[in-house]
Amino acid sequence: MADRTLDSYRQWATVPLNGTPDYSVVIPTCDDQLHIAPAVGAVASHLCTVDGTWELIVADGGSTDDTVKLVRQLDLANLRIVTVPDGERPGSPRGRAAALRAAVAAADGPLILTTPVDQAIPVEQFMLFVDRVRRGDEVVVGTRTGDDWRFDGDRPTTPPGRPASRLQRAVLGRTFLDPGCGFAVYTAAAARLLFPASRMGHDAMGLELLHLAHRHGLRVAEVPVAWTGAAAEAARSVGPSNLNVVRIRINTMLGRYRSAAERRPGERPATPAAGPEPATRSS
Amino acid sequence: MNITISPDTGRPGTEVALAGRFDGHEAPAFRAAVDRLLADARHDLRVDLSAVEFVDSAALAELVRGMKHCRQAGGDLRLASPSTPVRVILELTRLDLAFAID
Repeated sequence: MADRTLDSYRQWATVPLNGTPDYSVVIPTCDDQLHIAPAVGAVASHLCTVDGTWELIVADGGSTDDTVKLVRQLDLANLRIVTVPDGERPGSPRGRAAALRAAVAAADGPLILTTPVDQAIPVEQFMLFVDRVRRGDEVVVGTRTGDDWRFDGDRPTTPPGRPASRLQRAVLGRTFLDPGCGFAVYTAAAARLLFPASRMGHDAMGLELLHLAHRHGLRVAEVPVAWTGAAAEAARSVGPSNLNVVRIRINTMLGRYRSAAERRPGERPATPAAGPEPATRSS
Repeated sequence: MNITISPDTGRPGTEVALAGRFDGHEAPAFRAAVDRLLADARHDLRVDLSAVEFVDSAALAELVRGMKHCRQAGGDLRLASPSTPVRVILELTRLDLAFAID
């Protein structure tokens, strides 16, 4: 079994896919030269055990270290790198979000997985999410709210990613358990609907995407995931700030999330400064 | 991650068997274990990775550090039976060329 997986990996690494992949895996990066190779290895070794073909896209949000160089040096046949589109500032929250949007736009698979580069959420949970999609969910997001945690320090008293629930409920009309988790599976149709409409920086993008998914009436599932990390990391990933929650509400009120089909005849689209960045594809 | 040290397995060297996820959170425990063995003049280590699910860059750095220290002392740190995920990561990072792998 192990040898078959290794053979499958070597085939994936050297022979370009012929046709559309079954899965597109997107790893967002920004100054992650220490994480990217192990992350690619973990994703590759797992995806090579599942049925179906797959591609890997690294969405680099403007690394100033050797992340991009390392990815290119890996020279893997089915790995592409997408960088920050022109007009966005590399490394900024908006630039990182724009790179992720561009990567999703470039993805060819009918299912799109996003996974954090640090692999704090083991990718082996991917197929559980795929099963949820097969049962009808269109957006399946991980939540670090279950019992399967591991920390190298004191366990934080506040669950990681737990948002400011009362504010969210008051402002957005609903709460989400862990919008900053980053481990999610989207149907391609859902991703094509949500990502181009998003306009927040990467730090609030998860909440925004969930908000948009509910606005569009998509079937959304929040699934607890096993994860590992440091208490300090958990403290940093407490979800979007209150200001960003309010910004999402303002964007909603101003009609910035409405698609062209929803706008009244003659109504102008959202202002260019706040509009979604153009998606570009690079390799 | 579990670390099991077995001095007498019938094979050359001291076996250090790891199990679970070997990452930056576990690296200090591995370093301490290797340093204790080196202090006991055990310079030939065989690190069994068959039950390791994932290694990150910090873990790889610890393995390299251990290898260097063992070699400086006249021994070696060999990797044994790496699991498929670990094998893939070693290949991606070209560290499969740096380590002796049983």
